[in-house]
Amino acid sequence: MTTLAKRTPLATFHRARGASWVSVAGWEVAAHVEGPTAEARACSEGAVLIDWSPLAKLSLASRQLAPGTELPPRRAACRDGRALLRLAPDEYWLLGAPGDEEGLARWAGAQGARPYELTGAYAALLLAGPRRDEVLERSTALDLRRDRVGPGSVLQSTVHAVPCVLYRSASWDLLLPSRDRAESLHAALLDVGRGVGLVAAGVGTLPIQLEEQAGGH
Amino acid sequence: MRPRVRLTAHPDFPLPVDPERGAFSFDGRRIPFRERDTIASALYAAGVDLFSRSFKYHRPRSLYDGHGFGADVLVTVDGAPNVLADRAPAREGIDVRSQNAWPSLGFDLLALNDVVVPLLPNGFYYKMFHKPRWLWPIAERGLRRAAGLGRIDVSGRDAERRYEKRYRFPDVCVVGGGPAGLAAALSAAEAGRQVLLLESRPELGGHALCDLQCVTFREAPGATALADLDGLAAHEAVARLAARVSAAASIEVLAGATAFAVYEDNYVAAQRGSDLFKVRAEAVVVANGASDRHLVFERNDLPGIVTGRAVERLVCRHAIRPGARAVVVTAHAGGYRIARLLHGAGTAVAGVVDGRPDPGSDEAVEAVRRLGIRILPGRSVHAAVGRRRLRAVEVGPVAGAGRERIDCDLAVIAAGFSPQLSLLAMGRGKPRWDAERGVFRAPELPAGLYAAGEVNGPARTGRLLREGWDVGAAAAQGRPAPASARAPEDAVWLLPPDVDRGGSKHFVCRCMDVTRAEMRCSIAEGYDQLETLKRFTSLGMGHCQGKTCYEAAARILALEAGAPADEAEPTTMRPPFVPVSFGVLAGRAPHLRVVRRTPMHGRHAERGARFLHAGAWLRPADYGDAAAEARAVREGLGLIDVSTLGKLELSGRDAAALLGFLLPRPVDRLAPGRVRYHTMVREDGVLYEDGTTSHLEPGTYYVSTTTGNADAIYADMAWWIERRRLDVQLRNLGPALAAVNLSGMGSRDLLQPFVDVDLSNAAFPYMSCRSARLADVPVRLFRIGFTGELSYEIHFPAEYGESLWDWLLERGQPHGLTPFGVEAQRILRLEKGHLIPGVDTDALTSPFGAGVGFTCEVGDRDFVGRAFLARERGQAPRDRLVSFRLAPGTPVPDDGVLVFAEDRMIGRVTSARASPALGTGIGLAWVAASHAAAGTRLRIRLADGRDVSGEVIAQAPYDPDGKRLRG
Repeated sequence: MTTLAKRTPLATFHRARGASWVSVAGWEVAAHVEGPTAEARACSEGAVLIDWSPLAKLSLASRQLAPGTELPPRRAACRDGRALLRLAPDEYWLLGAPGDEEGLARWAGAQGARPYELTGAYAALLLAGPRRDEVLERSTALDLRRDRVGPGSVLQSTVHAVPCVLYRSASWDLLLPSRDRAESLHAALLDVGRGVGLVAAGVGTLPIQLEEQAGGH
Repeated sequence: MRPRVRLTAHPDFPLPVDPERGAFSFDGRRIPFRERDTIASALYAAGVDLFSRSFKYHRPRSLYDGHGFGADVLVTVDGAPNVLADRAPAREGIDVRSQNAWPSLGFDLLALNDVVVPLLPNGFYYKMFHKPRWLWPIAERGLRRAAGLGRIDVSGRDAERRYEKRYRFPDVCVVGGGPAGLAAALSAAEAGRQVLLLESRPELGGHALCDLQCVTFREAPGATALADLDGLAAHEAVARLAARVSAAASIEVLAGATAFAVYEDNYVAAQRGSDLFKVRAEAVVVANGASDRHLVFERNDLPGIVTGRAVERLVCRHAIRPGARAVVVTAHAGGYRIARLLHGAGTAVAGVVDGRPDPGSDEAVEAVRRLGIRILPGRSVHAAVGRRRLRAVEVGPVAGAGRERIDCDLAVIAAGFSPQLSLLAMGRGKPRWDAERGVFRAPELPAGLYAAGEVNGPARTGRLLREGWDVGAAAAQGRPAPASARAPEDAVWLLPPDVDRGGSKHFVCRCMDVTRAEMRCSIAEGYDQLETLKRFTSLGMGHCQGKTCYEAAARILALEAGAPADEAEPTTMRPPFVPVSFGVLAGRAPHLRVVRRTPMHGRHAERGARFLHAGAWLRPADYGDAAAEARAVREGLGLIDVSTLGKLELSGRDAAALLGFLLPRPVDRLAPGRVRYHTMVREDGVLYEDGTTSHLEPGTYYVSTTTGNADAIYADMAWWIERRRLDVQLRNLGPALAAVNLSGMGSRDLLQPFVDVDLSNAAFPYMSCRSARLADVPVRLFRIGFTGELSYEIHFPAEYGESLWDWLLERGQPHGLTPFGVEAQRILRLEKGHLIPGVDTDALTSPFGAGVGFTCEVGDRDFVGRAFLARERGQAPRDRLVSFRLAPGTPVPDDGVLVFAEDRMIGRVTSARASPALGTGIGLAWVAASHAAAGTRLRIRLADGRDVSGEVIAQAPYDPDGKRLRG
């Protein structure tokens, strides 16, 4: 039997840009797109957009969740590299390191929940860098004022007309669109971000790792 | 043309010292400019008197208000037409061109209009050239060529210009960075709110930056933050305030951003460059000030006639001596301050013409007296003298005869102020005349919308600051606005009269060249209401949208119609407040529209696929030759990407019940591991969808839908689950799973070595499904197909899309495996007589007429569409969908052409293609049931009008027994 590679929806884009590649939990993912130096500079001075699609993703319904694990709606908690996002009163998502689907499922099982895997169904685009807000303000009609939508916030809306989940941490924003629309969203973000120094980058610049976030679980 | 003097010092005002920054060209002439110069100020400093030609009469026009409202200073900059020269900053190397003149600005042949048009009847274009009838098309062409301002650059060089929509959500949005706006912003920020300040000019301070008066707070300043401004010159005070605003962490200043609309719910739209800012604020403070009142007299449009604020701006902001010899026309102390400013700049002031019988003893009046400047009380300007520019003015008593000519090259109109009410009044009722303040004022404002500053009527800077501060605090706390108050000395208690000298060059609307004589004539014709007058004469419909003339038009209409001044009212004020380009409103480039791509999209593109849009999806139509692809499937093996199909998984106790309710045939007899073709109908029994239902394992069903209906069916199912409180877990696996269909007689041979299930016909017959592993990838295998060949549909995790596609093509190479697109699939399905909902059906299609009645079991159970299907079941359909075949060599008709029998239209072709396998044209057509029998000849009319003959066939044209499919 052959072991086939898993690819993100941005594989074509990254191939066309001559990205360097790295294997992460069976995924072929771009390590660098514009080169380490340019990406590092954009990360510290402008903004970067990184394909974090291999991030493990599961969904579960709230009524399946054990008491004590609930979060307020539209909030997230992250510990030990795993994040629990409450999207709606009756819908949670679990995020974890690439390849951690089974671990996440076990955790969900321990809470009495039956999870559904979403890893391949949803892309994950990481927007980081000091000017990322300037990209977002051109991309969505959402109120993303940082004093109102702080770290640990979870929103569902459209970004460039693409339905998305947006998960905010202290140092980045994670956009989770469905896989089939991810390339469109990626292109639109890069287009509007051109003026504020946004560049496509790879996981060599910011590895796929969720940021600790205080919360309930 | 001699350059005007650039001042280095002024006795009363600290002039800015702006360095030279370069030069641009104006109609080929080099124009030097300094930092902070606008195009207009640089032109004016260079001695340019003629900026443009007026819209209708092509009269010479020059700088008038210097505020960026009027059409007098419209120029074309680097190919972009209708740029306001008194707003646009001068930049190195730009190419500025005059417009609306031919062959040149100085010698404009269309200036003949100035002589001819006044001889024509009012609104002549509505009344003339209509008889004889042949004349109008010619006249219209000529009128259209003569009309319009500027010329759009269609060369495409701006195709890459970027238009962005940007969003802001402040607590308080302040529109206007003058004294009141600055104070309001600081006040709201001090109350702990996030503030967004929109200022249309590059620097904060507003016109107060040119104000010589001292700030005095007659009462307590209202805030310690303002206390230190008491006693400062107004320009110093606002500069200090502006610095504080800029330094405040909780105030975002958008300089150069012009708010052009305030909609309901405090939604403010602003433009900066090519960016559109959409601002949603809890409170909006409109403090966008006032502009000079427009005075109507004979030849009041001549170059050399400027407003008071334009003069202040020229001297105080651009250090330009505006003229050699000036006359100031006024009715308030402000005119005297301008006379003093001009005197200090070296302009000889020939007189101050004051409409008041007694100018009083204001400090500014006394200062003018001390300078020995002649004051002419109780007088006003009756006419301007000159042809291409101002030579003199004729002044006389406010009422009565007797005129005096005063030679001058500059006439300054400082006759009071008109509040800029558009943003406040938009959609909220018409402004009303406030006789006490001598201005129009905005109607009652809704909660959350506040007005501050000169927009409430002119006042001294101290009062404007105080009012702004109080309004800002109220806006921050959501309180009602404090009452606006004005001191008696703030009002211009006597307006200078619009002296009617009887000529035809009293311009009321400068943008559209509408004169008082035209207004009078139109009123006599019955257009005696301002709204109808506006539409008949185009008054206020020009570039400034009435900002300059709204007050003058209202008061002159009242005067001419004999109505009291109190009853004067302006026309309805609507967005946008300033001209906005279509690009800004349209937003981002169309190429960025959202498209959905399958996991294998990149591979299709690399193979040179031609894509088609299927809703938002991009699907490969073909890879170069659809007929060859279809032939490859029939003769060998083909692979098509069907990832766009909807994929819904249902489990739970009520899953079968839900499907039994939504589908016209129940699924309770569908055994695990089996697949069934289904249709779906609406409540009215109309067929709108088909697909397959698979019983994956006991209690778990998998529904595949057409590409276009996937999202709607998912939403429909979710709604019914909630509505009926069903125990169903519904998962939309559309984005999660890729799907391909491997089609052709060799498909089993290709797959069998690599899957862990028995693919033999006995173990895995037609219309079955299995879970399996293929190349170590978990897959769902469905023995179904649309092509009529032995086929396997493979659904698998989307992340393996590319890899498994590549793997299959590689393994299939020895079998002649060829990828095929949607177009080949359409040919193949027509060879089998399969319909596509939405292509071969319409909004009236019954499943019985479409030949898929076998998918409907009406019975006794309840399901969507039952009532209609039960009624139709017993009736013979009026129309039927039939397959037809053309004679070999016959041209293939386009989809949608009509079908005739005898001389009667009996139907239409829904799909037709040339069949490579059959060597002839085939298709589907809706025809009257009387002509649906096999063997009936159909006359099909081609798009070019020729008729071709087709024959109705009873079964699928290709493999009618389905042996290949079930093989």
